[in-house]
Amino acid sequence: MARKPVDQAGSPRDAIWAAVRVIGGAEHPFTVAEVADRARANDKTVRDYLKGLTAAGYLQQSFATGALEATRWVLVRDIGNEAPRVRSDGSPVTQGTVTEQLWRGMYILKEFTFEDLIETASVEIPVETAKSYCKMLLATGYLRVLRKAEPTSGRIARYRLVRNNGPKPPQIQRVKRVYDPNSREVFMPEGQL
Amino acid sequence: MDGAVNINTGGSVAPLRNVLLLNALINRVQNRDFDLPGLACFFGPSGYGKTKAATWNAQETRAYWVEVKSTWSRKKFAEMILRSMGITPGRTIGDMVEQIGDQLSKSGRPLLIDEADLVAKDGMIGIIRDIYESSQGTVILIGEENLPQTLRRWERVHNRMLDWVAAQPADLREVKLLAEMKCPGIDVAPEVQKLVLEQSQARARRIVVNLRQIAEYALSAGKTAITMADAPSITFFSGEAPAPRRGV
Repeated sequence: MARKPVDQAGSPRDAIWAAVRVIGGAEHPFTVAEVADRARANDKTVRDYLKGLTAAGYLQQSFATGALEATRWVLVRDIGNEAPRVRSDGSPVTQGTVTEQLWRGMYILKEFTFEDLIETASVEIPVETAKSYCKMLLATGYLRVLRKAEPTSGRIARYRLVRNNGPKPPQIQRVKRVYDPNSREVFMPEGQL
Repeated sequence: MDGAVNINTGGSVAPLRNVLLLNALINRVQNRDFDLPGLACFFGPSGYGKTKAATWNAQETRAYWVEVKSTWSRKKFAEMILRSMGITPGRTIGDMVEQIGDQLSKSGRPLLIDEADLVAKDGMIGIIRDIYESSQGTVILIGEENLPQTLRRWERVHNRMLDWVAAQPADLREVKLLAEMKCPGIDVAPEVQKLVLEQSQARARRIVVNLRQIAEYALSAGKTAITMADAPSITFFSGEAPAPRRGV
């Protein structure tokens, strides 16, 4: 089955993690069904994520239950509201770090060029990635141009962030529009790109 | 649309002194002994690159970031911290402080508060104290040169500061690093670098502006090396207010 675009699928993992924190917060061993019910997520989705969380040490399987009962888990490492990004083997997901840093650079610096974003990042960001993220956020109304690029004098465009809906980076979807996970809105590019 | 400079400068602010100083400070606070307070202060005059340093460090530590505005109430301040964490604020300030403390302890991520001079007010400062007292979190206040003096008014805050670190003026090594970033492919002579440092009064922000002037001059004059002979043709900004005019 094809993966749904994020604006339709929402973020089941955020909902699952939130459910785990609510049910598991009081050291109550929980089942897949309980979490699935609360998070309104699919059992399989929940089970896969719980396995990843267990492998990464956030959860432990509880052995207090009888052989015929459903497996129960307990929350042993709560890292706060942000759902841990893990693969099913428990290794951390690194995809998205570049976008996260571009976005954090934007909301801290407020006024910036794409070079400023690259220079203040702690990971290496390809020039084209920085440029295209700026371009897409400009087209969808997140940025305003403060100073236009002047190719003759070698000046690059300077932007100001004018829409900051929260700490999660706006995502550029394959269908060429921007999904804001903070406000759960979709922004279409104005005019041509 | 991005102009002529398409070369990847590969530059990073990471080796700049103020970036390293703040990084060491955050590490010290995060690795402190259990019974020590988790509050520290990074201060210095504007233009020293405090925010640039904070940006890189916020990236490195995935810190929560808040820049205080002069109009904020206590409630707004608490709400904005929660917003930076992506958490829906509770009803009362008390609830919110608890939420903030909980998130800081659990996530282990530091909270950086820029323009902290603006929280040095009765009431506001109490929120900061409540946050670090209710959590094992790391809170770094970033502000102007006189922030440590301003905070003396609140003894309980002042005495519990784990460390005070002053942002340092730029030196020649940093002018060289910034020149590699801002004037890629241009050989800026050491004497010119020294001139830039003097003209900029060792403020990182002005150094960047003046290096930019050099890069533009080099491009328009078609030069790849800048020596003292070029200096008179370059407009340097010293940031000084203009002298009063005579006979106006």
